[in-house]
Amino acid sequence: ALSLPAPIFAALAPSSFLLAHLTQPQSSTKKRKRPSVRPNGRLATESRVPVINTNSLAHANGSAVVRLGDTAVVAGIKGELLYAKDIPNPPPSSKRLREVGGSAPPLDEDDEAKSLAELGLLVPNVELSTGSHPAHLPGTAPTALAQTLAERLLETLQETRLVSLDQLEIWGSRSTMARDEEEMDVDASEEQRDDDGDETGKESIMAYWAIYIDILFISLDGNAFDAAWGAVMAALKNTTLPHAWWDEEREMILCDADLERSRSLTLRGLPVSVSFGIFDSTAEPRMTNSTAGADAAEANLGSGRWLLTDLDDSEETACKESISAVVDGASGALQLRKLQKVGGGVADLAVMEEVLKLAEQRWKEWKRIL
Amino acid sequence: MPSHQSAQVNTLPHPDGSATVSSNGYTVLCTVNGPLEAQRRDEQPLEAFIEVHIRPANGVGGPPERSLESTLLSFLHPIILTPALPRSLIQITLQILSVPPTAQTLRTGSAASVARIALLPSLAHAAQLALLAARIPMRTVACVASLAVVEGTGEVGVVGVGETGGGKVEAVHAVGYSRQGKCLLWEMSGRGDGRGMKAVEGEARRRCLVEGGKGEDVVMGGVEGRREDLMGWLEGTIGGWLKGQQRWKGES
Repeated sequence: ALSLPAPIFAALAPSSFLLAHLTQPQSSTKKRKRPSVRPNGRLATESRVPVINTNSLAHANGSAVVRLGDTAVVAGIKGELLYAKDIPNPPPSSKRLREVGGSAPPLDEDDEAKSLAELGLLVPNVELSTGSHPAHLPGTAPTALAQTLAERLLETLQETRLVSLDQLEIWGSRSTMARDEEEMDVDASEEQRDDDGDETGKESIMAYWAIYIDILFISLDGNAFDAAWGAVMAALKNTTLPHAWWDEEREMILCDADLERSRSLTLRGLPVSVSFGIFDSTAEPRMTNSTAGADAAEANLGSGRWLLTDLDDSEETACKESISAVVDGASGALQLRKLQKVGGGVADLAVMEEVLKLAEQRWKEWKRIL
Repeated sequence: MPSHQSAQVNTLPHPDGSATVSSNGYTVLCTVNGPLEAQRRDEQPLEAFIEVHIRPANGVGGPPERSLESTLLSFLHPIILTPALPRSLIQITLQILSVPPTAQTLRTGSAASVARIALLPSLAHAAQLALLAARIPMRTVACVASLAVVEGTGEVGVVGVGETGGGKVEAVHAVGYSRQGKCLLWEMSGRGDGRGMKAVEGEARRRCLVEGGKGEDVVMGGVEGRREDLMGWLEGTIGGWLKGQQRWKGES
């Protein structure tokens, strides 16, 4: 009979290869059914253990290397200054005033999220073309996958309200001289003069920290988003911004080189991304499985369908349906912050409930190491 | 529900199929060309290769459009009978013609994800109507409802994305069901839990498919004999177009 070595079988027919593994015949000596084992040796709902190294980059404000099996990601955080005078259409929140040295007037949660998005202070970027995967050739323009990942990271950052705006604001009061000069330049309207009258002795926002989040995939073996989000979380948690202040004479922001005076970012909650795939062997009529029988391992969704967690690259090509959830259990009960389910119709409400249950376990796993 | 939706099939003369759909204040024009000859690197031996392009209302597409394209592609892939057209290319292009002026007024974390969810029904419906008009073989037809979970007292209030009435929105969902009642798409953004998901699932099913809506909520002002669920609306639209196409038969 014609037989192929396992790697060639896997490359030619990833779906059949996965099915053959999941339905391995059971040993007849044991009474209990053995669970399905995937080609990578994991059980159906077993995830790879994340490994995190933080602050390994010398010139970044914060950084992290996250590994999920053979998926390895580096995230670097760099804070850059955005002067308020350079913002063309500033949102209302950037015109707030405060007493010198006092605390800023608090912002409504929704206004804050809106301002943060409008100012564009969080800028994630994903680079896949590093030789991380044969499908993403080095030296090419960002692929659709890289752009999709970056957009999803940005949406998740905005939706979870991870970074509060007040940590990124740099306050200061403009000198009276500078204000007089400006008044001479601008044809001051009555309204403006009123504003200036209020401004004496008060501080306004002079600049913002813009947080650039660069994510580099060293190696991609499936589940890119979970790894990338884990790296973003780990890097942001270890980010310190230098002490910055407005210098009235020089009319610019100065940063303190003293590390003692720098402060670390505080994050809201602990959102974690958990991704799943559904392998439906019944959707492909060409696929026959000779080993499927009474002795074969049972599918966890029944009749030739499996719910798999943390897919690797070959499983991603075989699983058409995917579920990706961002969950946060920091405030007690598990909250679902984002969900994306596409590609098939196997998952119903019962599967979704199972997904939430597994996501809670996975959240605890990430919490331990983040 | 579908009262604020409208659709026209074959609005353009040259593409193989086209459709214009408006809902939630968005208008989307979709054209489908196919089956075409695929480029050699895209060609797949056992199924058709699908290409989805989304062009925004102004400017050129960027990462948000790429992200929408990948979602729409994964949504359409199980719907299109790709093995029927092996080695070919099906090209789906969607142009967003207009966006609502109040696109950013919903009060939730990310305006971008709300806009995305409000846009998904128009994209999904326009693409499927254009695919049908292009006579691309399909497994099924699915409709997508966009819903908002409104903060309430105890009860989980689920309304359409455009019907929140200024209430505080907890989460937005886009849920798609096939004719057979299978959930083909579920996108969510905001804050939610298992209980909220159950309520959203029920409401989405009711809005998408007639089976879920029987007996309750008699629609006022609806045209008699017309089903008021999204699937009925979609079928009515394509049925009306087909009737127009076959008019010549009766005139002989």
